[in-house]
Amino acid sequence: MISNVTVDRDPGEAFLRVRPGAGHSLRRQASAVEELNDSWSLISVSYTDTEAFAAEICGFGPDVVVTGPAELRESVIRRLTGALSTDEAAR
Amino acid sequence: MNAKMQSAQSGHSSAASESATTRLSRLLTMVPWLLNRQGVEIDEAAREFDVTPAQVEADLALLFLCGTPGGYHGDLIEAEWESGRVYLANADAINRPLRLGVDEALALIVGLRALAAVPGIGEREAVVRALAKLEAATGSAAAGTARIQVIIDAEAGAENIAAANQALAAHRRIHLRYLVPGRDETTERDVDPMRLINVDAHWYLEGWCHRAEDVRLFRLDRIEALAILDEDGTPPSIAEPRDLDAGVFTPRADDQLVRLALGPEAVWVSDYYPIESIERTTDGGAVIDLRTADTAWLRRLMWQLGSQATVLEPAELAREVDLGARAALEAYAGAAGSSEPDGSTPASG
Repeated sequence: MISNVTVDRDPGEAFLRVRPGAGHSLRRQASAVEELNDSWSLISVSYTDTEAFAAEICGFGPDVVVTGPAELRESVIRRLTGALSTDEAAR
Repeated sequence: MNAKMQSAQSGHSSAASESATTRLSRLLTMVPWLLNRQGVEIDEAAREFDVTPAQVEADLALLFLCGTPGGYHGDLIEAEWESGRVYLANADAINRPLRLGVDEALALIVGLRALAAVPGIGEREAVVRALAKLEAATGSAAAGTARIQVIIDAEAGAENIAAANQALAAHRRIHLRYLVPGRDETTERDVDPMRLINVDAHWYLEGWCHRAEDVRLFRLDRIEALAILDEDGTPPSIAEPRDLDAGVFTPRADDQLVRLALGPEAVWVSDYYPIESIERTTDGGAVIDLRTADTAWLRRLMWQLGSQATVLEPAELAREVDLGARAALEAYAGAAGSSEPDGSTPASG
């Protein structure tokens, strides 16, 4: 019932490539949407918590790719790498 | 809510016949009014309550059967109207003022405040009046209740709640554009509304979905567009409201069994989703079993949790998680370190 926990951090701006017909909840939050070509839209979304936002992005699997910032990108790569089968991740 | 549900389920009742709630509310008002006006003419009572004299007589005939439990002659209201004038007696049970304990009154105050905050409820004035009376009656005991706030899903569009209420009241079918986050899909569907409910601080519309041909719950903050159709929205007779006491996720026995290993940072999953069993592991993690019909959301969850969770069973789901993560990582391969927000190079594949 706690509706929100205030995060006292300055919001950052993330740039994400999104497949057509995917990333609906991200598109709804987007401050700008640009159609790059038939396979990708580029959207910008503001966020405050890098780890939480990276987790949200990972939920879209191959349909959403972080272009920047680097910190967010790295967190997404780390999570996805961790989701590979164990023998692969250990290599 | 119950009244709406039942009227929606019972199908058509002719427009002329009034609902049981309307009649009950008139009967409850009628008793003290008649007691204060012994010998009033039936015609005058009919004008006061805006019904026909025949309806007043029908109401009196029903009151005659009302009273405290027991049903003996002395327990029932006595009504006499043969002469064209109405006399009531033995109606103390209904005429007695409502007495509440302080705790009951405070619980009601908090509940009514939450209700008053719901957009689009029909009886807002009555809620506000009842609230004012209760606050006055409880006096200083109610002072602390201002600090208690019931937060009901502020994000759900007020228009959606109001429109859903309107459709329920008018028994109209609605058309929804609805986001299914578990599958990252926007869907279009026609729904016959059954009830509007608040579970764990979220508003849901329950209704018969013509796309799924089954009862579905729609979270109001995920409805992207709602249109009331000019079509009857009485759900089919097989539409049964779900028992939501255990929450909105109710796995079925024939759903697929999934076994997950959770790291210490992912153990929250076992509190968040309904699980069949849990075994704690020595590292602070856990192994859980859960049942689900749809594994798309689980795949997404596994990508989010990264190294903190592993699918142990079924092997097919483990493979899907691995393949999806691999495909997602391909977009980053080779471009590592480049973080310019140009995004102009689409990944191959």
